[in-house]
Amino acid sequence: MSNFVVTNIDEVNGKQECKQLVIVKNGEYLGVFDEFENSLQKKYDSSLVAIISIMNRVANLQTVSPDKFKDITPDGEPVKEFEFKYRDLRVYAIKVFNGKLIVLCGYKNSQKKDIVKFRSLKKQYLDSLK
Amino acid sequence: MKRDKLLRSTQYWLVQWQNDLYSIIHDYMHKKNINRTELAKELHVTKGYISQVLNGDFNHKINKLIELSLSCGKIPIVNYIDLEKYIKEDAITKGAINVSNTRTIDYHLSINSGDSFQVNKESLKAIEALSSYSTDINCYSGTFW
Repeated sequence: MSNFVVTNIDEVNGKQECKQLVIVKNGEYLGVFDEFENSLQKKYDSSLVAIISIMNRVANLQTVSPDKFKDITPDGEPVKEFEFKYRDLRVYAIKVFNGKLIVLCGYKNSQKKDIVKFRSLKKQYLDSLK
Repeated sequence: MKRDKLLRSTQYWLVQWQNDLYSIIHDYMHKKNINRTELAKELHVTKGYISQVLNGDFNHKINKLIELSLSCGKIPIVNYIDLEKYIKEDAITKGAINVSNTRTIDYHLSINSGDSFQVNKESLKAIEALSSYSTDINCYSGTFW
């Protein structure tokens, strides 16, 4: 059984908020974005900076190439879903009040599997708010 | 990663520039109602080159950046800002946004043309009073007194 908390992503400064989901499990907790960042190998440093740069643009309501940030919401889904991408990295978010909430991070080669997991986490999180 | 480390990295600013360039080219294409192929022909470059720019992956010579900007009717003016000052001011802005007791309210108001209203310290109360006319949880509409 997981509980959820939401915290700010410190690297992003914008007109809108950029938050991350914190999954509290067995008394341990770490934000999904922070955990991903800590787990990354050095070769991804530059891509991570690029992703955060894109997140800053989105938070400041600046235009971003759809190749780097796009709406991936399935038809009929009321809560918007977004994907940030840069080279091999992927970050999945949902629309929340006044910004975006990062729900899952992953790699290009696990994209399909990650999107399934992202939607499952999204559902669990939204259900937890009811 | 600390935000000041981020602001000191080349990659952070490169992505900002790449997407600024994407933005002006996208606007230009929209304004002229042309596609990538037509734009490539107009700028005497390949379609692949345009795709690279529109994917936010432009990383060519400075003269190409200027050439593309001018072709889209824009002048690329570069401002050099003191890094330490920028980082300091950025931290202040971020602190201001994250004050924990700040109350942010997102109201969607429907106001008819010709209606006039003033925004003052009482306006929040006035806006909240409109909620009694709400028909949707996310949309407040009514008449300003």
